[in-house]
Amino acid sequence: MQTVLSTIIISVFLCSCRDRYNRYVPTYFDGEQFVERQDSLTPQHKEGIKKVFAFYGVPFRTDSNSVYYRGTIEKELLLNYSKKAMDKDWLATHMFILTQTSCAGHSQQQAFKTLDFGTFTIVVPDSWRKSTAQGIDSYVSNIIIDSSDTLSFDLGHFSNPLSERDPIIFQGKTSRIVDIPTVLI
Amino acid sequence: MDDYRQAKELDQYKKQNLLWDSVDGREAKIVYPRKSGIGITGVYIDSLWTTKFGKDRFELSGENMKPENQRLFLQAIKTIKFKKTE
Repeated sequence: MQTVLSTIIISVFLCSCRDRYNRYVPTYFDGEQFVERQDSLTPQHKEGIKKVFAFYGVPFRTDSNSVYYRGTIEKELLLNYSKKAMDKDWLATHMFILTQTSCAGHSQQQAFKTLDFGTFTIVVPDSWRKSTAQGIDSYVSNIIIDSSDTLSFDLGHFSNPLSERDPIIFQGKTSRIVDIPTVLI
Repeated sequence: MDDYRQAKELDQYKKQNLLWDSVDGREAKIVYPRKSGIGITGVYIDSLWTTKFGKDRFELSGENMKPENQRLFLQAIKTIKFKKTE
């Protein structure tokens, strides 16, 4: 009986920790330890961290002075978020995905599931399904999205690095451009 | 032509955008088409872990995806979690 009660109490405690909002404090590394600096939460940093949280799907809310995130985040990850919040290049390059993933409100009503491939898991819309494929010296498989789109993965030593070749530009009297980008090396 | 202008000229003929991010704590290369529906959308991780045969890499991608599927896929990439199996 005591064991059951203890389990329930621990579960309730863990749930409450997971759902609790914690105040975000900019985190840095001074070479020896993590340092929290509330005074670094400038309006610019605040806007940045909101975008970072949105990008990584971290539930958050704000008030006039602070930003709060739900659950617990390790110091190392907070350091990563703090750096990105002030990284103009990162924010600029990730705005595309951020707007792409947040603009369509109907997707929030969509059901999702986790596909487990053994070596990795991925959360996808409920309608996507696994399909098998045969690899020679690596683990390959497919995710069928619908009748026209399929994803494929390759886990091994020779996975495609998804690099795009530079196009070759010929210059001269009869200048022309050979477009190669359809070929990925 | 200087290097900057040459790089800029070459860049305008490319079909993919490229960004670097982390997926499950690993450095990941994410590509997506500049024009939705034409090109490759995917993620590549150069080093998942090391086995006795060498480095394991990972690539997951789709080609010429519909814009809505591309959007959902880019969202899904962020949820990938790896687990090493023997």
